[in-house]
Amino acid sequence: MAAIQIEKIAKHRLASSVLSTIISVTLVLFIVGLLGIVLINAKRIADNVRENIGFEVMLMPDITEGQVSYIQQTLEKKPYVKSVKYVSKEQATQETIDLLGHDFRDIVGDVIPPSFQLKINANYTTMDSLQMIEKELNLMENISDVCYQKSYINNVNDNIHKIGIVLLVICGLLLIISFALINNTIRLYIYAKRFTIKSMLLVGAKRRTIYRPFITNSIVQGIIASVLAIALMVFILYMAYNRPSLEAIIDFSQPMYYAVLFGVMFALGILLNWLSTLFAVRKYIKMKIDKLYA
Amino acid sequence: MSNAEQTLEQSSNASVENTEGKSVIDTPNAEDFIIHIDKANVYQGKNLILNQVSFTIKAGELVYIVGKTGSGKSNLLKLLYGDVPAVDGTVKIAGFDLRNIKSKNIQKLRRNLGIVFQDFQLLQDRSVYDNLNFIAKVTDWKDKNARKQRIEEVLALVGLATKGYKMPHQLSGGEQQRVCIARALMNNPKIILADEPTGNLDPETSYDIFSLFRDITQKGTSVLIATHDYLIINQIPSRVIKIENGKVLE
Repeated sequence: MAAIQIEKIAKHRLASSVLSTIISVTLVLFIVGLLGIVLINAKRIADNVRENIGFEVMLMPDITEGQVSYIQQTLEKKPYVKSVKYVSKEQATQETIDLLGHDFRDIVGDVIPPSFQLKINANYTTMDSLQMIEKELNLMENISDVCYQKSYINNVNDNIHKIGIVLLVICGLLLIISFALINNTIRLYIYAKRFTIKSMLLVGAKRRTIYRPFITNSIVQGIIASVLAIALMVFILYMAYNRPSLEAIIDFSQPMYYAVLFGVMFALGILLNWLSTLFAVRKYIKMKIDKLYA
Repeated sequence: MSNAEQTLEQSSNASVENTEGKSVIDTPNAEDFIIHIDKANVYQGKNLILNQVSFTIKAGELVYIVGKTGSGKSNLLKLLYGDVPAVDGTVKIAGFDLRNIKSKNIQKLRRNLGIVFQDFQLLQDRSVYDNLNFIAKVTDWKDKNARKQRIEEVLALVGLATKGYKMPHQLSGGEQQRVCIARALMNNPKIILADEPTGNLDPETSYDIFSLFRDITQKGTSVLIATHDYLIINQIPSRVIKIENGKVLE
């Protein structure tokens, strides 16, 4: 009876050790997946910030409706223009009054001209491109002035560049940590089996005979962990998909990116498990028996 | 015939001397020798444990190696199954020349020996049957039915015919030792090396196990047993090699 109980405990321990390995690898792969989503969407987030950079294109005060319409059509055809919004003289004046809290016309007169608010495509938000655009706009008829916040744009570009580098460094570090965690988890599992490996060696088992069950188990565990991690990722993405507020951050228009990410996660789960197991088993195969007890 | 076997054959007619310089065996035919050690030193790490070891063992011989605890009996056996490297002299066993053996052939050597360990070295994660099945698989028993038949044979031989389904930890020390012997017999080895096979067993069980070894030698298998159980040696007398002060004496 006691022996049966001991056997049950041993089986339970083995099962829980396998389970903890799978859970650890699943969580690490999940983190890798999250990093993948961040990387996939990092450019979109950066573009989103850049495309909020706006040009204020001031028009002549006496411009006619026909001329406004012509300029609007011309601007909309420009490749660097993402959107054009016309702000009439009355609208702009009212907005300024609302902003200042009093009617400035009593002091300086009716000075605010009609204008266009231009949003620029992200690809044209470098300082050089913006200066070229400024020049081009200034050459157009009935445009009195072109304004944009140079220092703000410089700051945005600088910050996006810095954030990009920091993000890459964090991704790199997290990947290394992930690999180390998976490797460590598997090494612990193999460590528990070190005397079995040694016994197999002492009775003359070929190395490949010793490797085979460990490698097979590790690949199966890798597949299970990868599938679980991918299922978690799909769940997270599904939740995000149903929240319109996240649309600007997460790009759902390119499902192929996510398919590739899941493929990488699947391959990584198997590859890391396989490699870690291979190295760990090899270590104990080569280890002298005295060191097994150290 | 392997290179090692050829080398062994070439060394026929050699006279083997013990540490005192006496010729202990004049051999007309080296093929009779399962073990041929000549002027070999045995080390543990960098420490010299046994100095200038020389002896031979013929097919079907039962030989005891006796000596105090820590005298180097186990290390001598480790030398013979390749766990301790042979760095000088001549060390040949079952057709393998251990001085020139490549590391990948050490596993092959062990598959050709039967080894009974003092601490059993059973695979604790599988049943007695599966322990033996593992050995059958690694020694290339392809036919499942033949494997099953052989396992049943060796289990019956060691008196464990009904215990195949048990896990090692469910067996007593004596029974585990019998499983080790069954495992050592699986591949019909030319020689069985037994390291303190009755170290933790009661006298009655010890006698049964030594009787089993004696029966095995009658079928042509040599058995080399490291032990300090003089009582059993008196009950089942045979050739004794003594280890004393780092030397091997007959």
